[in-house]
Formats: sequence, C-alpha cells, structure tokens
Amino acid sequence: MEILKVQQLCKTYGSGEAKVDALKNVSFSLEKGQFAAVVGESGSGKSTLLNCIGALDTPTSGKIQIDGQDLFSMKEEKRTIFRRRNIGFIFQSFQLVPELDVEQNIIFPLLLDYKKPEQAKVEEILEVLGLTERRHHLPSQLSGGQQQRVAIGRALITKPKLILADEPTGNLDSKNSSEVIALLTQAARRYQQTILMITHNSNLTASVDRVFRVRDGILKELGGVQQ
Amino acid sequence: MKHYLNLVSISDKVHRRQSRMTRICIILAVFLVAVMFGLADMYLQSMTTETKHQTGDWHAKFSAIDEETSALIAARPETELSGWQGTLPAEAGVAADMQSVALVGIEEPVFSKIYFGTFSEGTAPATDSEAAISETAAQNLNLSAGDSVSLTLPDGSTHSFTVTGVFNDEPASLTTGNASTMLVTPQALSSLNFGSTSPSWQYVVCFSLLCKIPDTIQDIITQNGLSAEQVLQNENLLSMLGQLPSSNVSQIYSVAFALSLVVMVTCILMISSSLNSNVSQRTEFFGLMRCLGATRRQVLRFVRREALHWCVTSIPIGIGLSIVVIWVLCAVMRRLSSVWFGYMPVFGISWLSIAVSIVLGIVTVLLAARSPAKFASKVSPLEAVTGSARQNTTFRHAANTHRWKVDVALGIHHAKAKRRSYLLMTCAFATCLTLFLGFCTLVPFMKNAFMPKEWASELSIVSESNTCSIPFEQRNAVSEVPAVSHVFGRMFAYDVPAEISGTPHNSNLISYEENQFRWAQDRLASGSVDAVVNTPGQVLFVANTGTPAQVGDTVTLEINGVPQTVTIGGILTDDPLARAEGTETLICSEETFTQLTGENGYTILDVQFRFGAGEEDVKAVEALFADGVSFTDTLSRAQQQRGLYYAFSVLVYGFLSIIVAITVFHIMNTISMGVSARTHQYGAMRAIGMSNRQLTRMIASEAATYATNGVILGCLLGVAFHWFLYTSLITRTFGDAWGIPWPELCLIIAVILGTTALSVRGPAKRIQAMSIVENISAQ
Repeated sequence: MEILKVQQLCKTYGSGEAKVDALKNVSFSLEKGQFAAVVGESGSGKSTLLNCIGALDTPTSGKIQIDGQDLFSMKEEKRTIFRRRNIGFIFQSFQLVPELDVEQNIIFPLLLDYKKPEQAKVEEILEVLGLTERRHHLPSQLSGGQQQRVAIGRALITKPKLILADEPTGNLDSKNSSEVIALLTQAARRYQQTILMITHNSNLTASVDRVFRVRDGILKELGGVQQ
Repeated sequence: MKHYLNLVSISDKVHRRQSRMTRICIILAVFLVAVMFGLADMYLQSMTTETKHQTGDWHAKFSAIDEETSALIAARPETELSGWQGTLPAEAGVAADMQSVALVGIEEPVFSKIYFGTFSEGTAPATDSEAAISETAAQNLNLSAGDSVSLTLPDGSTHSFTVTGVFNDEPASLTTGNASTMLVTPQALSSLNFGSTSPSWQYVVCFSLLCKIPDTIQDIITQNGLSAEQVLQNENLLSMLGQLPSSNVSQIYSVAFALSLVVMVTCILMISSSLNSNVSQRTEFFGLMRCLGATRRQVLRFVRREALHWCVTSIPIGIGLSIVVIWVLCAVMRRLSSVWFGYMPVFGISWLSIAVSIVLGIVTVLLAARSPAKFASKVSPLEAVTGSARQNTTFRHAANTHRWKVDVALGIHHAKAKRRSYLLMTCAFATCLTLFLGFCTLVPFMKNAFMPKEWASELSIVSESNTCSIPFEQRNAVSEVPAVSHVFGRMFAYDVPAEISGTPHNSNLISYEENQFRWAQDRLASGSVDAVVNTPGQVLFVANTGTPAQVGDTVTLEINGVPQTVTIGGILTDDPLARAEGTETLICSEETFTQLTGENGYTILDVQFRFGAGEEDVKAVEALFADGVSFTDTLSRAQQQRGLYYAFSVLVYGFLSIIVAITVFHIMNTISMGVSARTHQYGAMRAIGMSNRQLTRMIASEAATYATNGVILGCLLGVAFHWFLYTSLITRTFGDAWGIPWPELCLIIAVILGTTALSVRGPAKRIQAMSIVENISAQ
C-alpha cells in the first residue's frame, strides 16, 4: 500500500543570478511500513525535501500525496490538522516544548486535537521508550538521548501514516544514536510505520529498507539494504 | 570598520524591527520630560512677561543717590541697562493746554526697553524743548507729532514744547500711574521749577540675568554706603526669574521634576523590558562575540553603546515632537483663557526643557540598559557554540494541561514562567492603571476649584426694594433672549415670624422652581423634595441653625398678620441661600409661595447664558428692565473661570492620554517582544500540528494573563490611590464624598483589555505569515 508518493518535486530559492534549485524533479514513493533513509552531503537538498514532504515548506512545483491525499491542494487549516494526525516529526534538536513534561510532550499532538489520550497507549509508548520513570520530568531535566526518545514518542502517539526524521541522531553520541535507530526500526516493524529519515551518517542506513541519495537536488535510489 | 563598537550601527540596521519598540520607548520618555519641563518653562516665561508688563522690566531702583554713585552703578559689569527716571504726578498741578498731566523725565533706551514704550507716531524727545505724549493725552489734548504744547507749572509760568511723538499708554501707567502723561528728557524735567513739589528721581537698573542679582544689589549697597530705604527691588520679577529663595521658579520646576521622575521610572521599566527581550533574542550573537575573544566588559560596553546609539535618533525625534506639542498646548491655553495664559509664548523654544530631556533621556537609557547589559555580558561562549541558550530556559513545573486546553495552558505558562518578568509586567500594568486613576482626581479637583457651580448666576437681576417686584412676565421675556440658556426666578419673603415646634423664630421664605429643587436634592437629609414640589402647603426646612425639626412637623407662619400653617416635607442639610444668622430658611414651590403671600412676582432673577455670549448679550437683557432693579454681571468672570478650567483640563487630559499611550505601547511592546523571542518555539509547535487559530489563542492567553492580573492589582492599588488623593484634595477642601470612579476605571480597563486584544493580532499574523521552516530557523 503506497503511503507517500512524490512526483516531479521542484524547489527553487531566489531568482536571477541568485537562483538556486534545491530540488530538481524529485519523484519516489514509499510503501506502508517501509523505513527509508535519505543520505547526502550538507546543502544537497535533503532537509528541503523533508520540509516539503512534511508541508513545513511549499514546493515550487510537483505533487506530494500522503495516503492518496494531495497535501498542497488543502487549505492551510486543513493541512495543519492533516499534518498533526498523519505526519510525525523527529528533529535533530528535538524541538520539545520546554514548558511540558515528558508525558505532556508525548501526547502534545493529541492535546492539540483536544482529544483525551488512551492511557494504555501512553503507558505502552513510555514503556517502549524507557521513559516511564521520567514521565513527569521536564525536557531540561533530561539527557539528549532521553529528549530524542520523547520526540520519537511524540511522533508515534497519533499512529501517523508517515514519520519524518531529520538527522535524529545528529546531536547524540554513538550509544544514544544506536538506541534511537533501534527504536525507529522497532517502530517500523512493530507498528508498521512508514519512516523517512535523513542522515549524513552512512552507517545508520544499515538497518533501513531503502536508501536514497540526494546530490545537487537530484534524488537517486541506491537500493534496498535489507527487508 | 575600525573598531568593534562600529558593529553597533551595522547591528542596528539588521535588527531595526526588534529595536523599534525600544526606540519608541526612548522617544516617549524624552517627549514626556521635554513637554513637562517645556510647559513649566513656557508658563514661567509667560508669568515673567506678564510681571514685566505689570511692573516694568527693572530689577532695582535707587533713590537719593548722586551722579557719582549712579555712574559707578552704570559702570558695573552686571549692569545691562540703567538710567535716571523722574516722575511728577498729575496732582502736582502741572497742566498741558489747560488739562492736568503727569510728567516723566526718562531716557529713550530706558523708556523703550524697561517700560516697553513704543511710538505710534514720531519719536522720543531728544532736546530739552521737546516732549512726547501718551495716546490718552494726545486724545484729550487733540495733539499729534509736530504740534506745539504749552506746559503750565504750579507757579503759573509756561513752557512751550514741541511734540515729537505719541507713545502707548502702558509706559505712562508704569511710570506715573496716569494714562495721561507727558515724556520729556531727564534734563528738561530737572530744569523746570515746580516750586514746593519736586519730581521724584530714581536710578532704574536692569542687571544681567547671568549674575546673582540680589548679591549684586547688596554689593552696591555696601560699596556705596546706601541704606535699605534707598533701594527698591522688583521682588515680583526677581521671584519669577528665580533670583529669590523659595521663588515660584523652584516650586514649578520641582513639580515638573517630580513628574519627570515618575515618567522616568515608568520608562526605565519599559525600556529595560524591551532591551531585555532584545538582548535575550541575541544570546547566541553575544556568545559568539565571547567565543571570538570579546571580554565581558566589551560586551557590556557594546550593549550600552547600542542603547546610546538609539538615543542619537530617538532624542531629537522626542524633542521635535515635544516642541510641536508645546506650541499646540500654548496656543490652546491662550485661546481658552487669555486672562491667565495670554502671555504664553506663541512659538517659544524652551532650551531648559531640551537640555533636561537630553540629560534625563540618556540617564534613563543608561539605567535601563544596566540589567540587559549585565545579562548579555554573562552569556557563556558555549551557548553560541551549542545554540543551547534557547533550550536552556528552565521551568520549575509543567504547564497545567488538565485545567486548560493545551494552547491556553501554554499561553498562561509563558506569562508566568519567569517570575521576575511576570511580576515586572503585572506591576507595569498596575502602575499605568494606578497613575491614570491618580491623575483622574485632578479633574474633579479643578472642576470644584475653577468651574462655576451649576447654579451659579452670570447675571443677577435683583429687586431694589427686596420685594417681589419683578413681574412674572419679565422672566419669560428674559428667557426669550437668544443668548440666554436658563433663567431661574426666586420669590423672597424676609423676616417672617414662624413658630416651629412651639418655639418662635424669625424666618425667610423662599420659592424655588424645578431646577433649583433638583439641585437641592443633593442636600436632602430626610423627607422628599418631590412632595414639596407637588403638594401645596409643604416646605423644605434648612437645618443649619441647630433648630430641631422633623419631616411632618408643622410650622406656623405669620404673613401680613395672618397665621398660616405649612408642613415640613423635607429637611436640607444646607443651602447657599441660608446664610442669614439667627434666621431659619424655608423653601417652597412658587405655587405655595403665592398661596401664602399672595405675591407672584420675583425678587431675584438669575440668568445663565449660552456658550459664546458676550457683554452685548448682558446689555440686551438689562435693556428689558426700566428701573427698580439692580444688576450683578459676573459673566466675564464665569467665562474666565471656565476658560481656566478648560485650559487645565487640556493639560490633565493630555497627561492622562500620555499615560494611556504609555500603557498601550507597553502592552504592544511586551507582547510583540515575547512573540519574537519565541518564534523558534512557535515554529516547532506549528510543525507538530498547532493551527494558526491555536497559535493566536496561545499568544492571546499570555497577553490576557498579564492584563488580567495587572488590572486586578491595578484596580486594588489604583482605587486606594484614588481614594487617598480624592479625600486629601477634594473631600477635605470641598466636602465632596468619595466614590469608586467607575467611568474612569471602566475606561482604563477597556483601554488595557482592548489594546491587549489588538496587540495579539499583529505578532500572531507576523508568525503565521512566515513559513514553518522560517519560524524554526529564526534566531
């Protein structure tokens, strides 16, 4: 089942001599439960691709469909709600809400939907992430690895169609990096989550299903590593 | 770039928007201080000019001194202008062309500069056979420049003078006290023989304002061995010039300085708060400076220089604005009350206010920059490297998402998270509200002090025989004059024997009409005014003499030898007409009065005129009466009082508007700064799925938290402050009871809440207009 479909995606910054083509006719798709990685050098266009897929930025042309729905044909308010319910984000610098504790941060997308979270589900995620003991801690009281685990929990809580991870291990040491990758892999397998991860660390692509490389705005698939 | 501090101007260009509110705060501080000192200065200038025109622009007059002493005084470096002045009053028996005139012998420079002599035609006399005459004398004697006038002295001798010019009456009144005056040279005056009455000679001196005039005068007295009686100081003028201790100048400037301090404290809070936000948004930049080798002292100096850099443009703008506002206010005050403010300068520049506002502006900015500068200098280099400054915000507890929806909970938490800034913000809101309510008390104070009472008559028409001799129809005739707004008639029966509670008394019976009964309502202690109006045979009793009386008591009046009984329908605590000692006052309706006395004419008609009425309208009313009445015309005094009240109202409301403006700016500044500082965080929230509506609600909750708590605290403090000022200023002086000032309170609360609501819109729109990626990457 096709979860993500990107067609002829282009993103251009500036104009005239200052014109930069960050993405050039990028097309690819991801099936449900696939864990894909995008690698590339700094400035190659990886983050731009992720921002466009996550509707954080508007593409210059092209089409992005998530679960068959065209993101940019929706109005702003509807797109925001769609993103809240269907796309999970994991950022390099965690981007947790400093005023909310671990549990509140995890259920934050549900709170924005004014929904009461299923307590069993919250307990399960806290258990999987190893944060049960720290559920009432504020982000400032957590280590970098723990903060990133909270961000993963937040991305998982709505059971989104797609999780987008932008250099999720960029601010972590090797031990925490391995743990985060293991958690993402587990999520992909256990909850059949489709995950698109950006990384510049080729070693982290060992456990993913598909690997893409972006160079000068052009996306190429390097092939599956393992199923 | 030659110096690291040159970075200040570059940084200013980049962060122009962030520093806009800080610059507005500085402009506001400078503007307020300059306006207050400027107005004080203009008022003093006008008072000084008025005093000069009332007394002449001289500082000391020396009498009974010789030529040598006068030469020594003239030669002193402090002496700016001096000369002999001899005067001879009209009563001395001098006549010009058979009409008595006063004589003054004075040199032209002293005449024109010290006594403001100007010639409508011709010039001042230059030789002993020449003379100039005042306009009144010229009119009386039918003379003009070039004519010849014959002066007859008391001994009968005559001297002929050629009239060289005609001068204004002002110097005539200032020198001789007589509008009909002849001006000759001092030599000519001294050469004339006036017999037993000789002219009074004085040496008039105007000193330089740069010297200490009383000391100079004392020095002259000591050096020349003069007695105190030989010296006359112009104390009124010296007081206005600030040359005497405890003069008006120091009092007025003290008030301006005290108000400036209040403004300064408010502005320090505002500037400090906006600088704090500005600096905390650039933590990484300061960390980077530290990384690259800047010492703490250099960062400190950088922030201070940045604050001073804003002064370069803000101070001139503030001063420019203040000059324009002062001109407008002076014009308005001159127009509203020419009697009190007629000498206000039209386009006056107050150098003092400019100097004071520059100094206080810079001091305010430096004081306000102290804490942000310290904060910036304490940023660690690590924060620049890791970009962790914004992540390091520590909170003691999580937002309460159980009680509130998450967006509202976050907004409240944002407001309350930093206790110090929350306290400062709440206090700032409360201070604005308190200041507003405090200054509001000036309005009723001025109204009581200056404004004629509602019942004050502008023209009273009184029966000369103190009887009811003014026909009822005359009242209607007066009310038909177009300029008349109200006519109130009263019938009086004086010295009516009355038996109250079985005790004989002397009483005055007065009739009121509906308006006067309405005003009496405020002084009603018991009973009902309406009952007295509507029930014939009922009266109001004024209980200001100690005579015991109660509602329902009967009073037996003996009118024209016939006993008549009336009932007390109401008791008044006091009445403006109950001022006859040992006499009781009874007030009844016109109908009752006529029933009791058989009279239907008025004793007094009080007339009030419409806005803009003049003396010709008073004359028109007076013309309706042939004889048998006397008039008391107080229209011009009432108009002057109203003008003074309006002029002060303009000032007070101007100041209140400024306080409101401070409140508005402060609220907008704080909300805008808070949003700018959290742009990055808002970006992350938007990425997770926060909608624009939720974002706006979150910002609005933060703003509402500040406003609500500020309003609650401000209401408590402000109402207490209002009570204190009202009871001290008004209740104690005028006896008006204090009440909660609901209209003012509601107005300022509406302004605060309205501004808070509006101030959310702009920053929220700004964030929403940016893409989420731009939000997240914002510094």
